[in-house]
Amino acid sequence: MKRAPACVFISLVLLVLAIAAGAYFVVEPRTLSGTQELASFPSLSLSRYIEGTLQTDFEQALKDQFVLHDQAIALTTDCKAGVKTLSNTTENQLRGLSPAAGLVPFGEVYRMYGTYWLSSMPYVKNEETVAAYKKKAEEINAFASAHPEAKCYVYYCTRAEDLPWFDATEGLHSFSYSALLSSLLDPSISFSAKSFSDFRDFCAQMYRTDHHWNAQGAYSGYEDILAMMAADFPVGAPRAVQRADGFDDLRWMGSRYRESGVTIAPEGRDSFVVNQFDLPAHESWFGDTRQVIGLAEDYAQGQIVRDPTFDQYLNYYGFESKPIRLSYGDASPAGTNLLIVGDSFARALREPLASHFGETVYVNFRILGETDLSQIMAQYEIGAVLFMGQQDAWSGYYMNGEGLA
Amino acid sequence: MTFSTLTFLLAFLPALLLLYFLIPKRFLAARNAVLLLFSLFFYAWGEPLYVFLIVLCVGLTYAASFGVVKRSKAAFMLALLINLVPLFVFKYADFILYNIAPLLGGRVYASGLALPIGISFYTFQAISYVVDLYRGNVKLQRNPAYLALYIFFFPQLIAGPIVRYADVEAEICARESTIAGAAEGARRFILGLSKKMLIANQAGYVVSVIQAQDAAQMGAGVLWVSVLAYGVQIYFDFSGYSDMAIGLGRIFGFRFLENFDKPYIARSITDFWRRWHISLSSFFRDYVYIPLGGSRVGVARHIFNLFVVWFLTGLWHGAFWNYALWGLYYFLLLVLEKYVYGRYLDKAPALLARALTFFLFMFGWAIFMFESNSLSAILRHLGMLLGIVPSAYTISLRALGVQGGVIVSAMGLLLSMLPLPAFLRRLPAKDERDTKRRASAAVAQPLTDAEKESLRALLLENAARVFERAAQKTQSAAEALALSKVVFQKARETYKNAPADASAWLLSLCDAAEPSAQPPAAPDGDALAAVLGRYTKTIYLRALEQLGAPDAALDVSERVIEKIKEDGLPRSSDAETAILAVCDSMCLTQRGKKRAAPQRVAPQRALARQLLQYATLFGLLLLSLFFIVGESFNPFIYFRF
Repeated sequence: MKRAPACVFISLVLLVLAIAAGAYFVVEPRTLSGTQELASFPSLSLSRYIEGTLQTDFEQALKDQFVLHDQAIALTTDCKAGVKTLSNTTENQLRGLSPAAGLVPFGEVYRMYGTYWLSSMPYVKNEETVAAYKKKAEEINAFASAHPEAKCYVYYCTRAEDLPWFDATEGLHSFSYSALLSSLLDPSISFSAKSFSDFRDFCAQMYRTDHHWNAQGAYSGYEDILAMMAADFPVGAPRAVQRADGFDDLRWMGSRYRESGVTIAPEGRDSFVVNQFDLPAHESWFGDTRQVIGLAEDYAQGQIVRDPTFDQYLNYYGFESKPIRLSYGDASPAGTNLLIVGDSFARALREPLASHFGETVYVNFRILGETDLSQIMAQYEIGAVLFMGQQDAWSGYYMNGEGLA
Repeated sequence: MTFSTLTFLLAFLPALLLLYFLIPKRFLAARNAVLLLFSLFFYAWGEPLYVFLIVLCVGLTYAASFGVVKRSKAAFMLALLINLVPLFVFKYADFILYNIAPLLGGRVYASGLALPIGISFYTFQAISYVVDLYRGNVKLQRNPAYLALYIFFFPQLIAGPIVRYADVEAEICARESTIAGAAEGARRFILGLSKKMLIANQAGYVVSVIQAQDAAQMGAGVLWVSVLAYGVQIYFDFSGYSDMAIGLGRIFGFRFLENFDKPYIARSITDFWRRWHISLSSFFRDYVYIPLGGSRVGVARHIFNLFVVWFLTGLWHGAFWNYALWGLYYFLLLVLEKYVYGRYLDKAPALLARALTFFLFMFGWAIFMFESNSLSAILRHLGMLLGIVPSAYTISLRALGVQGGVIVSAMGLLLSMLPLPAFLRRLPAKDERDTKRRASAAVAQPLTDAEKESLRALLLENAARVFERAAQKTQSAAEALALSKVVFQKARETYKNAPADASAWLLSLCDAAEPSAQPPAAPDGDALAAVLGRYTKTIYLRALEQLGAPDAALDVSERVIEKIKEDGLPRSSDAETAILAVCDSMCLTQRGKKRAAPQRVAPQRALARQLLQYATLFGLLLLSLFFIVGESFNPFIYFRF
């Protein structure tokens, strides 16, 4: 009888290991968890074993195919966020602040002022990033010098991490990379950046659970860019929004959700609204294929994936694995052609913006970093070049200058 | 493969347990074969090619051992070279090439050789076997598979503890695996796994985030947080791994010695090294320091001995100058403690001594964690830590998002200093006690009452002589007391066959005995130890006189020494009188204890405690498993389209 507890304990430990191990043979392997791709068990290979990749892949597959994989991630993230929240709340109380002051931990990200708008920690000065900006600015300057026939513009898409509102509560010295970029560009290059007057304005223009701007934010960016270009080209006034299409019951979670590691309650998820414009007749090409870009028609017909983890922003506007060309012909007000070298922020405004130009070529440099821009400049007689993107577009790998000049 | 991977926990371990325990106990050779094969697989999983190197080394060591056992110097040197050359080539070749670059016209050459996992540990294990064999302290292992099992045995193969052959020699050939032993092993393993996953990794996150920041933004405060977090990370990581190794060994019937003993409550640097990585410090003590002459030499030679030991200790941890500097830092501290401030430290209040020691070894971690061959970079880092090199501005821990990890680190630091909660401590199980009793009975024939009385008188009469002989064999008073205990135990076991000359018989037992139960001494003593060494025999004789029982006198003497170590030397001008007063008081308490009825924990309460322990451990296992999976989540793997 005295041995009973030890026996029960050993049996339970073995049972847990046996069930966890046995589940791999019983439960059907999964390929996705939310939007995260899950590793599958590698096939045996002597060369991969000697390299060591077989072992690491096997371990990753064991983790990804673990029977309680999603619960394990949620629990781990919750535990960490719980301790972080406790620390922040206590610190806020000691400083006489509201528990919701500043950034409130939420999984691996933060709730801005305790609301459903999520953010990572604001950017601080980092010498490596500053060096990358300098290199990128030099390349843009060189590109502008090499193409005097075109006017260059740079538009900085401000995100939550660019906002200097949390310095006091979080004890940091946020750094304005848009100001840095502006200071590094030749005076001949026009520069503008998205701005928000206050948090309310930010909430109106940005998604809660995704780092992108929403329809209203994208329209505001479109207005900013046209205002910047109006000094050089007769681009005309921004087109009015005919209607804003919302999709009933569609609630989705974007990149912040994926970064957070936790599930967001339905009331914290985003609705999906898109602006509809009365655009002149035009043609669009995806690479060399003439086709409609994006899935606006599918959405209009109700063919919508309603999985809350599905990336609606990407799905609606389309993935730019090839250059996109929009042709409005000679009737366009600007009287020239436009090249957009951008990132995903350009998706939501390329259609209305292109309608002001004859030909517009949009290259997502995040995806098409090897594209020969000079060839496009010559082929389409580009008269205006717009570089636009968020912080890591200027410092990251996908606009690293290759092929720019 | 490490213990905190699912490959180990859900594939390797269940398969091994199943196969091992399916083989009946009586087929120990088959069980050993399973352990050896799995150990080879364990190593080969991480080192598909280097596994052949280790097999070759073991094979050659085995061959050379036949010459070593005959005291052949050539065979001995050959056996040492067989093990040291791979260590030197793989671990130190690039370090040497880097440092001789100026002689080669400034061009830095690199061997391009990856460091085999665990080479520092298994090399030392093999060396300990060779040296002990040469000294005649262990018997020749004629079965190559058993020698391979000693070196390869997976629990201690890649991160220690460095197990001596003498400690497992008997267990390789004859050991018992019991349910209670397996439960105890599982308890220890789970505690170790929890230490690693729930504390060390969280503290490690703090360290990695802070280290990844721009140095110009790191104020001294933030850097100190990273150093403290690193102290927590390395302690819980390393001691956790040792716990897992000891636990796994226990499951299969092996008893490894402890590797850590609450090092962060040490009251001196000497004390710290008695508690930190005990298997390594005792290795250097026994195989380097004592052969060099130890402390029983002149001051200059002693300082030289310390220098050699600590320079090697530093370089053993890594082939970078910061590790050598770290070793030399401890050399300097130990020399200062021994010859300059040790006497003041002994007299200082315990809290102050501990605080100073804590600061000193944490500063040591600051050197250790900054892996670099650039002395100027190391000094700049230390300068920033001490606030000498200013930083542009300081970023807050909250802004770095590490405040949660800092809280966990602080809790870890506290845990590292406090005793383990009662319900997580080892509970001796009844069947294990029975096993011990049966094992003891199998060796020693029971003594009659008359024989017991006669032996007691004999031990009482020769206690002082035995102690003196033990003191000659050992480095400290505590070790001498522990060795005396071993001798008394041996005497009880073999009294029936004792020769006529009882005194010579006891002394021969002492000569043959190995001090196995005592805590290992650090390579040097301190001023307090010197005083205690002088008075220990007096204390012991006084306790003998008061109690009339050699064993009880040994116990009381140990407690008196511990108390004086804790409280410092009595402030009275007559230290001997004051120390004897402490001894008398302890003897009085001891007699009182003997009279008092032994307190027994109610069976229901013990059962409840045990169930609580198992439930807690079970919860920790599940949480650790979840953390292993959960930590594979990387929020930054997603592209922002």
